[in-house]
Amino acid sequence: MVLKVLNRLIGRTDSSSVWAVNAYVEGSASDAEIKLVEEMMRRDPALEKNLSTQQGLRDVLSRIERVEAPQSFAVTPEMVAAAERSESGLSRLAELFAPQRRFAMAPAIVAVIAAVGVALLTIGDITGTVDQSGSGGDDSFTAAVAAESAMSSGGGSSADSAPSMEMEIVTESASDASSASGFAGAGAVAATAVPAMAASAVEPEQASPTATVAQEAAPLAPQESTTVTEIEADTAVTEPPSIAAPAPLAKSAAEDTEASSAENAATELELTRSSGSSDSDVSTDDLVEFGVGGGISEDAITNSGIGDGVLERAADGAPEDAASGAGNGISLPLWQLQIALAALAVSAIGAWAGLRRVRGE
Amino acid sequence: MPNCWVTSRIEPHVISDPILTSFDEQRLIQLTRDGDYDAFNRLVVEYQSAVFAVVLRMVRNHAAAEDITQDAFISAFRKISSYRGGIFRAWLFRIAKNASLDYLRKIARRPETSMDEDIVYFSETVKDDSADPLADALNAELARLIDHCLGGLSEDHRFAMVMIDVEGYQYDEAAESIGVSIGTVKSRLNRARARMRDCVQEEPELLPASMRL
Repeated sequence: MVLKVLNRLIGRTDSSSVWAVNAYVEGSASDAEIKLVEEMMRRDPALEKNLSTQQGLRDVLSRIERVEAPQSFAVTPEMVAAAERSESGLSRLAELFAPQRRFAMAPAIVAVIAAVGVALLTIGDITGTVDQSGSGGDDSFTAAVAAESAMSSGGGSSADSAPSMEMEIVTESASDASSASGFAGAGAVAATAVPAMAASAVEPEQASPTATVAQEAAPLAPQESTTVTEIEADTAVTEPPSIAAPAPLAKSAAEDTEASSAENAATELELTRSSGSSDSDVSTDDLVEFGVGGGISEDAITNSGIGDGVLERAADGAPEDAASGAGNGISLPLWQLQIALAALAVSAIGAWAGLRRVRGE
Repeated sequence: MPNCWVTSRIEPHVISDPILTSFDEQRLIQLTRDGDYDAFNRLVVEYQSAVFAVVLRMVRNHAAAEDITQDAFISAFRKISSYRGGIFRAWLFRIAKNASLDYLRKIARRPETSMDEDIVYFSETVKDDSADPLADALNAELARLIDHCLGGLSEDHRFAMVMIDVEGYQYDEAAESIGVSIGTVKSRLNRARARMRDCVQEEPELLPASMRL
């Protein structure tokens, strides 16, 4: 009923009447379809003549003599060889994605994953699960993804009942801007348990640059546990980084940071446990805030495999451990990540359709 | 005549395989997948007129239709592995339709190419049992008018109308050929008929009395 009203509003006829009219013109209408068409004729007297004209037209078209092939179109090996020689690289590429080939569904799968990623990010943004907040200029965004499922399942205790915990690694480095610039020296990386949803963010602080790596590790275990690690590097960053380096780069940069911190001494590890999220000694302005609701289960942290020892090693000069959780992360502002994923989805769909077209399907 | 399909394009030889003399489509397709040209050419003979007719009515140019049909069959042979069941003829139609659309887009980018050289292919082809010369002349004019109106339809509408109203295929085959649902074909056909009706009404004197508004 609603559909009929909408169709009438936009001047469209609903499919049942279209099909009935077609069947009527073709002389194959059922009793119900004939009734429907007659009802339409009563409402619109001109319709009867229109349909009569269409019937006459169809009759004329059906009387057109059949066309016979003027020659044989038999295919020879020479023709096929010539066609293969003239085939473009694009055509060959398209063949790789032909049905029944190994990569047939790859573009579609990429498109679906990217679209799901955009949808989840958008939903998370709207619901506040994915937090995006500006902390500097227009280029400064912070994104943190809370894995609520990890919260609820980590260690078998509920998020509400578990004591909230926040671990922070604060690395202070007095100077040496070059050591941190060029990677996510002042970046916050948030990795989630959702594949292809590693939402990360950079929080550049030009005036007092702060490197914050927040990782939310939910590895292979079904009880996804969550660890929040924050590294605050008091380094002078000359330009706001927009893309954080992946693990190897993060490692080398962290080593640089360590080297510089040898000069400037102060490397400090803070492991702060707090029942509230705002009780940290570290300025919350400089840290990524994870909207994890009831906090993180201590059990979850214990089970995460990145315990105190790891954190200590990270502070003692094993930055790869500290960065390992962020190794998979690309650090992009949330809106850029959404646009990138959307572009990826559209590109994959376009490629998929284009390759089908090239294949002549 | 077992080798009636063999033409001057290929070396004539006698087909002794009973599969090739009888028409077992699925078996022929399987043989084609194994690279058997004879098997595929048996399919070509079966469907070449149908494919050519649809292509001709889409591109409205005899020479181009021949080239497109040949290319379509070559392409079908090379891509036979991508055929995944369904109506084989519809699969061929789809390849031919896409080749036709490529041609139409190509000539649309080159407006100096004339599409009118073969525009009268419908003329004198409307069958009429009467021996009345006047009726024959009117039929020729009517065919010309229909040709003109058909050429004015969009490619999607034209293909639907050619498949259903001109060539007389079923909706499911037309839908598979186009790659859309049956409902979409019906909708397109409905709009195509309405536009054709409007077009032919511009010259009512050519229409039979029953078709005049």
